[in-house]
Amino acid sequence: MERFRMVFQFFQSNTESVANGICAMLTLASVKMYTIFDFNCPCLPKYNVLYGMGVMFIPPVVLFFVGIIVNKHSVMMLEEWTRPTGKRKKNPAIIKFMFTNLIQRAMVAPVVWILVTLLDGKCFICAFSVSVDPSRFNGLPNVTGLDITRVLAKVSCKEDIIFQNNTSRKAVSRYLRCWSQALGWSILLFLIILAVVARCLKPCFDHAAFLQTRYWSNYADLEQKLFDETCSTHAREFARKCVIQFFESMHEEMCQGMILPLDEEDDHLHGITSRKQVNELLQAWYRSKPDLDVTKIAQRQYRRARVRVTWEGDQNKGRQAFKPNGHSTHTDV
Amino acid sequence: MLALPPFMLFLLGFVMNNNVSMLAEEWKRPVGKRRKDTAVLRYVICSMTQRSMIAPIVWISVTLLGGKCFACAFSINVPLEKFGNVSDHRLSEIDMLRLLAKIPCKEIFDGHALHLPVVENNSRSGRGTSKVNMSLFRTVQAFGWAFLLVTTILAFLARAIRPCFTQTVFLKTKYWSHYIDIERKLFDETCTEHAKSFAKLCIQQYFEGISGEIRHLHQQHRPLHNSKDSDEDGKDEIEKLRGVTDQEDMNKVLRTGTTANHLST
Repeated sequence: MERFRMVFQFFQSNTESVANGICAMLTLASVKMYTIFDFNCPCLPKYNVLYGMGVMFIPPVVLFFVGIIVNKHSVMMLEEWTRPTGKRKKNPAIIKFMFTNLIQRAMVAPVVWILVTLLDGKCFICAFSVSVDPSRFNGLPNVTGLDITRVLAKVSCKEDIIFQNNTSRKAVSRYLRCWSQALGWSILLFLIILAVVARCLKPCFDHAAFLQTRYWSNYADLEQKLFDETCSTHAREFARKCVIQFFESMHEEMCQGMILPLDEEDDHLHGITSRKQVNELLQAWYRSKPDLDVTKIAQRQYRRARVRVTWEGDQNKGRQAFKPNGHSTHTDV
Repeated sequence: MLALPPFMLFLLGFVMNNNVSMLAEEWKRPVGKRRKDTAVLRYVICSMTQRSMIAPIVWISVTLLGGKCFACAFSINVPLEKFGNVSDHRLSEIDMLRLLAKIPCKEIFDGHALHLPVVENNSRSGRGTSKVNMSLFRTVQAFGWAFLLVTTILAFLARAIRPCFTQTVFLKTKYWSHYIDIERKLFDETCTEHAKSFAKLCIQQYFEGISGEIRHLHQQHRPLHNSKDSDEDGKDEIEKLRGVTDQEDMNKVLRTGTTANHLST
């Protein structure tokens, strides 16, 4: 009982901690990817918005799908959703709970990327420099042959020659960075408040149903793991018996009429006792693998186990009937 | 650089996967008493391919996002009209192509022949590079992200759609492919145990054979000595010696053992 409880706790904590660990790793990976990403704004009116918004939103989509793919709960949820009802009716609350958990964990890395992008400000400046009102900024360079949109598009390119000895580029850049950081901090504040409210108010709404749903979704996860483990143990035992049955059948074939009684517990030879027999056995293993049926050996072992239990039971009865003081104490079982 | 290393990584993924030999054996074995299940072979091939594809995809993504490969490959195809007034150059076509091919090599590229705009400092690396080069980088990065997005969506669809179809077949093939792997290991283990027992009995048989000869010799020279000793000393210790009790006899045993190996018990 104690062992079962320890195993249960290990599995329960293990699944969630693995999922949380993967989520944390993806978040760190997204921050690292942003820091090493080589951001080069095109500084052309039509391409700035595409590039800026592309860098802000395409990596989060990739991170979101990766977060779903690496999470085992996605497969579990789909299997629970698509399984036939059979003898166990389906509970849509469990599927909803699994889906919510999955989406929450998968959204962390993309949101962190977007926040880091906004707090850094480069993408925002690149994308929206052409949308700024030029009349707010004095001293923008007046270059013949280039309209004001093209000039504003070059704000992100500080090396460009038209902004040499001109401080208006920095003014526009700071203005846009300010907006970008304000937006970033506002989104962060909103998300934190949302998380706090959700966590605090959750117990007020049907907490009992939530506890049940959480229990049964954990149960489904553990049941799947234990089923896989049991299949694995079964396959191992099946394979062991199949191999022993093969050895014994080869022994029967080779020594027709001279079959020696085999003691399965101690004898690893299984009746194969010469070089010729070993070679024939190895050839037969390749040429003709045995059929996947271990009924014969399983039934024989079951019969032997029953005989052993009956014999030990009889021994015990005999001991009880003859106690040291000489009186027989026959008891009915 | 874009095609060869991913292909090599893909092959390496196959080579290092333990299931390759299992797959080959299962494919080539004669049918015998156990019919072959092609679904199991397909399942093993699919799972091996999926695992082997990860390294090449990462390589291709990193190469594209880095941008150097494509910039090197496609620098001669850059449309120069986008980068300012480049129409009035006096270069022949071959010289033009040679010059364009040098674009990724910042140390030897001279853009002044084509009046190409030059940027003094790259924001990330702090080295001088041309606008043409950076435009190539951006195009390549866009390809990289698009490739990564498409691959991720395909992987997601493959994982999401599978439970909707053939879930029972999947469970069966998963069980039997795991079984085949375990059976191979257990057969090897059983053969190892068999070999150990075989060797033990073989050596025991050999010692018993040789000690019979030696006892016979001893009894001819010293008929009473051994029976007295076996009563006084521990019987187990005497039995382990198997009648070999002096240096000369042991040397004889070792000499005979190396010249004649009998492989049957």
